[in-house]
Amino acid sequence: MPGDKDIIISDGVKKWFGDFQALKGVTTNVKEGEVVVIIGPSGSGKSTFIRCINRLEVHQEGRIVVDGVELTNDLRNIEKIRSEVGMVFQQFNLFPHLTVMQNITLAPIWVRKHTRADAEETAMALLERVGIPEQADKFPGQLSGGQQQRVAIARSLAMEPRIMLFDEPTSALDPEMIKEVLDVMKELARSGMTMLVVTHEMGFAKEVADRVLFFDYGNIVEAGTPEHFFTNPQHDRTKLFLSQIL
Amino acid sequence: MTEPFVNEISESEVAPDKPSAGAIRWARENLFSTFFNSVLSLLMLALIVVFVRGLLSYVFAEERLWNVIPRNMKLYWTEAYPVAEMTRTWVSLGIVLVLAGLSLAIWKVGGKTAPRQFGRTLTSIGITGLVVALLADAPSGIRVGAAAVGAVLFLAGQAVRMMAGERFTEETIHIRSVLLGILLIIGVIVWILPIETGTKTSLTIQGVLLIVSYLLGGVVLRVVSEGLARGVLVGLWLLSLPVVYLVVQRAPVTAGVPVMSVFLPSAVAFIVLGGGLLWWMSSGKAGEGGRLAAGVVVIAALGCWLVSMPMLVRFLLLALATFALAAPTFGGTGKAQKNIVIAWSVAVLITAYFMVMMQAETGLVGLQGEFIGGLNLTFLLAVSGLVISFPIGIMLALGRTSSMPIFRLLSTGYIETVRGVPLITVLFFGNLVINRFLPREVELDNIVKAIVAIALFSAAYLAENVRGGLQSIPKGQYEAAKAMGLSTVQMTVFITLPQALRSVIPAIVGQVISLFKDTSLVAIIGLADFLRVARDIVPNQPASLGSLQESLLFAMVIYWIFTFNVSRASLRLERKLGVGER
Repeated sequence: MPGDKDIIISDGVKKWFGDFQALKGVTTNVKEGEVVVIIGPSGSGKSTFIRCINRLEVHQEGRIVVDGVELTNDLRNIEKIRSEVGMVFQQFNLFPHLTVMQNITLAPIWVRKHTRADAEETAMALLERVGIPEQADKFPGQLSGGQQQRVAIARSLAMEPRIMLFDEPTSALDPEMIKEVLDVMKELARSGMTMLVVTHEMGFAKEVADRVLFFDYGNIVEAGTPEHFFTNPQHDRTKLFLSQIL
Repeated sequence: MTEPFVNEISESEVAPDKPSAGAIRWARENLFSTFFNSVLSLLMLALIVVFVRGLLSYVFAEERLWNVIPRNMKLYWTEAYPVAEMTRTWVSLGIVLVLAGLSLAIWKVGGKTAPRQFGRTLTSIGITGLVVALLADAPSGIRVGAAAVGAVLFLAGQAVRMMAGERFTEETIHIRSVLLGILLIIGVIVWILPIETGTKTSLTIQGVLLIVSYLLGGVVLRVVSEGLARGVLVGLWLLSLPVVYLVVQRAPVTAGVPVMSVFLPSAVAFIVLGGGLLWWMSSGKAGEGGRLAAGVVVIAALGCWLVSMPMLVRFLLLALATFALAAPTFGGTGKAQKNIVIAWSVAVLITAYFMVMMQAETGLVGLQGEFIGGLNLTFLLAVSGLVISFPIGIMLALGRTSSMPIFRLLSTGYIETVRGVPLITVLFFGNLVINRFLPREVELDNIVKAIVAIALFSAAYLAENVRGGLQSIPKGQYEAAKAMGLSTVQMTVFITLPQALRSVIPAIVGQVISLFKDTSLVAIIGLADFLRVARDIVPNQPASLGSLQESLLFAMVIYWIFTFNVSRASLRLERKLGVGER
């Protein structure tokens, strides 16, 4: 259950790509332990928004505060926040020249300065948790898409992040593999992790979201609990979108 | 209404063996499939016959002076190196062969091959021998000999295939036993050839060294871990270069060098003070102070070239600057801290040792300056040029792809300038102008200047190859690395650079090959490399007059053997690293 403390504060965030304005003043706060699902048509700015939270994209106006630290151009702040915020990508982005074990232990060893033995122990525990301990010594190219995405989740968790961002984690997967990834994410949500999830999986949103944000044209059009959202949407854009995908 | 169709496929169904094609069927399908293809095939066969016959007739003609080559082997190999000190070159070769034997064992080179493949290779060598006997316009002795060897190999090849019987496609033959056989055959040939007994003995010892070190490598693998053995071996290979040329072949006399008054105190001071500094900087608690200290060291390392001081201090300051920049990134835990300080101490000792050796006069009597020549010099230039150009090239590539304009500008300017200039110009430039850039008291000899010129030239090309690799890395790799909180240096060292280098192996190998051959241009600044020996020195020996063609053909074959093996090795490397590629 979400706590009382705001762990992410986003206040009037604006972002342009050249002349195109991708974010038009996004304002929302995320509480500790809250699971926020972000939906919306493609090009609506939902991925851009969560990429701003760990500064893979740089916002030009407004204010983002993550765990009490404001995102500015100060490099040390950015590296500190990035090590607290895990991110899972649509294309997995595992490092193809490293084994699964090396993928997971790299950042704990070099960023968190854990010893190799400790890092490997944690990594094995995480691989157990995502259900593929037997793949530890394989290379990413030898795994299925679903397995790769589960390794990517384990890799993010190895940093013991306080927040996890998911950027369409199941969109590049074959249908039969979507469930295995969603199961891991559901388990994670129940364990009390703060999560921001951009997804088209409405079942996931209904089941675990504390709050659903609907993005369109670079802003939040409608926000609410899943019950509100799927049974009683208010805005015309929301109704249209839901009618198209459900 | 259509019936639903279900195809019952059971697991037990095994695909039947592919029908094997006979030689006639193969020829009909591949050479004579249509009228036009038949005409083309026959035409090409005729061309091959004409070419091979011409080549063989040339090689085996009565007037060829092939005996010049074994007689002048010492010149080809080492040129003017004193005969009395030849043991030193043998020791050098021995060091390389021992390392090669260990590497073959530790990298587990060569798996197994199937009798079919082995038999096919033997058969085709045998057929080549028979063709030589049939086509060559050569003395009958040679023709009969070639025919006999060819027939024996052909029959041996057939026998291997027959004996294997049903199991001829199973991989049962160790490649290492095949290599051992070849080595033994070469040994026998060496003892038959008309060369000095001393040389025969030395060559035999070298062969034995190779085999023994291979066996030793197997033992080593049982005692220590593979990763450790490989790491140590790479270090030994890098060390072998200065050891062979600075110590073994130069025979330095250290009497005139101020070891006790300058070198030892500076080395100890750097180990203690530098080690302390690095310990503090890698603790993770240094913060802003650490950054400031690193900046001071970098400025000192660059500034010391403007004022007069011992070369050793300059080099050690440069090394300290490198370590200082890396320390905060790779330090942190107590173990990492210890490793950094140990690595630093070893680096200081090695640098100091080789600086002493460099400043020492050579102990070889009656020779000064460039006494290294022949194939020996060609290797020195190629290998040291490559080793030095590698870090420079990578730095240039990173500079050119950097987000900082000043680095980008400098790297791009350097790369485009050097690539726009012929190597000969760079060699001349290096030979005549390099001293202007160095402090007054430093005098470089021609070989060192040539190495510097080749390395600087090659670095520009290498930088472009590496840049290609860096640009081929998907954006997601950078994003994932950043999202995990890796710093830019860590991202480059662990994520982007390894992937970039692996993806440009073919381009880098192409560059290594051309670097190896381009070293022959140093003849223009008066050095006696292998090609110059073959072109100028050997054919002008009174006893070898008129042997230019033979000598050049020999040089050609030697160059080809080395470059061909480099490209085969790179193919192996590519296949091996391909594992786990997406």
